[in-house]
Amino acid sequence: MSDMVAENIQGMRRRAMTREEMESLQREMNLRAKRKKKIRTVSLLGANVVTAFIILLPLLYAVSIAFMPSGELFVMDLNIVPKHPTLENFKLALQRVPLVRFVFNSFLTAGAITLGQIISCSLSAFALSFLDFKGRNVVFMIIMATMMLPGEATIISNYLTISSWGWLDSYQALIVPYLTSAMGIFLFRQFYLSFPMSLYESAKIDGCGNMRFLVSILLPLTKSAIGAMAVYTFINAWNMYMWPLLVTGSNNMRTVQIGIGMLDSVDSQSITLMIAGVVMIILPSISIFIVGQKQLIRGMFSGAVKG
Amino acid sequence: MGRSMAQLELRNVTKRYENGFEAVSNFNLDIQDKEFIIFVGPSGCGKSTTLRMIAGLEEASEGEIWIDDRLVNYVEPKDRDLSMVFQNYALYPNMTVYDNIAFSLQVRRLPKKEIDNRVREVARILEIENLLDRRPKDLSGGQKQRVAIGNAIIRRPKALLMDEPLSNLDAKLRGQMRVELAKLHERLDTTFIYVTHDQTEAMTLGTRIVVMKDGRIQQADTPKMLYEHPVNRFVAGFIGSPAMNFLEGVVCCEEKKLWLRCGARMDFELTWCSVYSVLTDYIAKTVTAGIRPEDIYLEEEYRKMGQEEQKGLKAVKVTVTARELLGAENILYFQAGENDLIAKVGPECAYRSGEEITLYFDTKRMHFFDAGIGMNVERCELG
Repeated sequence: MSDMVAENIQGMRRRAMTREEMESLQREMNLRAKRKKKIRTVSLLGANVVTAFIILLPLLYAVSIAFMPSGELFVMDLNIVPKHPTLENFKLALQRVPLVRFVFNSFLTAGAITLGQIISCSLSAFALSFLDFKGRNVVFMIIMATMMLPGEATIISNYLTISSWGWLDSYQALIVPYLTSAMGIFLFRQFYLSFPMSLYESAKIDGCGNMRFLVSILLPLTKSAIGAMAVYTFINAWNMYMWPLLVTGSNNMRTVQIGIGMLDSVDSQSITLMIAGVVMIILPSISIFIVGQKQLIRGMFSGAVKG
Repeated sequence: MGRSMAQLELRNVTKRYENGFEAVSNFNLDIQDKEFIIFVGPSGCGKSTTLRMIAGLEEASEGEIWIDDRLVNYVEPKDRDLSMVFQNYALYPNMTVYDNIAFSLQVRRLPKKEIDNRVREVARILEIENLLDRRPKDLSGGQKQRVAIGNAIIRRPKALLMDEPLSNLDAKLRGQMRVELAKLHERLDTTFIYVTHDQTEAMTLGTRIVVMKDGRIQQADTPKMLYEHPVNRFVAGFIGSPAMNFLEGVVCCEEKKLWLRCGARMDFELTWCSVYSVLTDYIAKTVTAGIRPEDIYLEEEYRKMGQEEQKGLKAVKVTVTARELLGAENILYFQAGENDLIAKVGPECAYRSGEEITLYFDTKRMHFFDAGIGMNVERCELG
């Protein structure tokens, strides 16, 4: 092919090219460029697929195990795909523990926490970035300082407080301690700081109160921050383990993560059964992430790049 | 548009920040109904702060702000019945143009029908009727500016405050909007208070201009008065483009005439000066003489003048250092003695850098400032 091009170029040197020759040369070059681009795209795609497969392998393997009869798992030869797929594990898992109830509890808890955090964090971040009051920065520093305390350090005192109120084994116990977060306040505040102050002042002169400004101007304009925050909070709340384990005692109040723990017992450990349970409960997390990933990524980067 | 009277009064208004910095000091001003007041000055002179104190966005540390016999120092911005146009337009990106204009009325829960009528009326005045369904991001700079003005005038405020509203527009559009603002002022019959750092905007728009520096009013006067009778060296240098030339010199009395000696080759006879009598008090003292670039003439221009006009023009030998042709006029940079000066001359001038020429300085139109405090000598006599 390149010989032909070289010939063409030589030909061009020898004599002026005719119009047809010029056109065919252009066509030729175009074709080459297109082919090159195609090869690039295909190879990039291939590399991506391979990488994605490697990253997803544990997850896919877990899904596959969930469909395996327990006998098939412990064999010497490599079996990635179940030979006799079965739904038995799912059935058993649902029988062993009330997983549906647990999923409901988790949804309720995570949902309430997410909603609560969005409300409380946006309100406090609003005060910290738009309202001018004495000690504003000190308050913010104190809030930030709480992020340095690990949750484990406060878990006992929190437990004592909750139990003294008689809230043990209740939704309040699961939800109320997590209704606000320093991280969320920080995230929202950073967002609001990049918000033009003149919009707030303009609204003030227009006669718009703080609440109305927050609801009808600030929140709609910070949708991506709220989305990022919501996904992050929901997944965190969904994955909580220590606190629910501590404050819940009955099957009515337990969350899914505890439920998975309950599938594991010293006497009869069944890997396939546990994996089936895990597969069932990661579905909501993954679907939330898929729905919210655009927001999440935009939210995480919105501070970095002016868009 | 019907509306009430608006008189604004600022009494000893001071803005002091917590770190002790005084952005505005002892600001006193009476603003009459329907005036077009301009606050002008270099950046950091406190003009925006003053405007924001009037709007209620900042609290005055001292002093009183009165609107129509009502002390408004502690009145919320929304209850002051003023509206404001911001430099970056401050349009709500999530709302359509219609809602942006209507927002202040919607907040006040006016009947939908009336809001609609008023939005359409404002849109007609500003010629943005076809944009009402668009969002701010789909508008050009000039259109955004109109919407911002629409949002401000729909409430029929007592006064319209504008904080450098044209500085985000390109030069051509700025010129257009300037003309439109002047028209709008005529049409609305409202008090305008306008902040800018651009003296051209100030001179063309204002019925009265407040020149500020370091938080203090230097002079508050009509454009003509500012141009012809600047109270001090700062105002003289700030108003006018290119800026006024300044020369240091000593006033002498020789042959029963007053002279200003500004070093070698530069003696000016002061016989025809308007402030001659005042200058007699300055004999043997140093003064700063100011002469505007437009009051310096080429030899050709001098020859064309009548005898009466030629009176008081003083020839000075200078060396040209640069020349800028602006189409209808030339800006000539030259050196006279040790001074670097500027002249604004006709378009036919073709001198090149390095040439020695003669220019004529109009001593009739010279301004004189006390070399120490920088006050205009005519004011020194009054004060």
